[in-house]
Amino acid sequence: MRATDLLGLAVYDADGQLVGHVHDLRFAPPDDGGCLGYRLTALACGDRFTLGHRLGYRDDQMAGPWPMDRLFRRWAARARVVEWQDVVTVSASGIEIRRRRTDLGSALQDTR
Amino acid sequence: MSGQNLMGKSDSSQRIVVWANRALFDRLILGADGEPAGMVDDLELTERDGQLEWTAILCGPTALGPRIGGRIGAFWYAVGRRLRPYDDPSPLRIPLEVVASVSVRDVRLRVEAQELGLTRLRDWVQDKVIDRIPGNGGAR
Repeated sequence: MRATDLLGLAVYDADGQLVGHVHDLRFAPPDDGGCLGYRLTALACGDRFTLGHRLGYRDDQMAGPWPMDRLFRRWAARARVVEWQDVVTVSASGIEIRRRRTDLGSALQDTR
Repeated sequence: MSGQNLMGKSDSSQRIVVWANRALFDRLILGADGEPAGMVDDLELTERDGQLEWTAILCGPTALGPRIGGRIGAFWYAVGRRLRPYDDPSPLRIPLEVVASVSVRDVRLRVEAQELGLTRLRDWVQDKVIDRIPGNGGAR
């Protein structure tokens, strides 16, 4: 599998509601402190429109120009983090998770 | 691979984590000789013990095209496929075993880029085009 196979996929919560589309992948180093074997631990999901995310407005890598930063940051703030352990199925039609959208944490808080 | 200078941030449980867009995608790949070898266009993930692990870097137009998506991505993929010397459209694969370090600035390899075939297009252009231009001065 490639990262591209996950990026852009629609994510649906336990009620079948759309959470968003996968923007980004989060990795964690192995528990033994080694360097090989970074595990996929979470997905960042948001609007289909990902330009603000790709430009780095989600985690304050980008600043200005006004009003672009406010606009992009507002869009990026709606992104949610889905822990990989909550993923039930992954298919070409989308990803199903076992939690509800309202229970998911903000991607903005997760990266600061 | 050294994770020392990998751009890590802590998640809610205070563990160091790495976001692909921020610290991995589009990073410059440098061979052991310091020569640029390409960019990180995609990541290979392998399922192990029910979890997905990052096992290799994929680079080249046939890796970048699908990530761009849409018509531009399809065009880029088609260009890359036509430039391949054989029918296999698989992108160039760099296993993490040959990666020396990953940082927000670049990815450094333990081997020279030429060993992995990462400079094939550049070498072809050099041999077939640049070397045949009169007065090129033997530029290499």
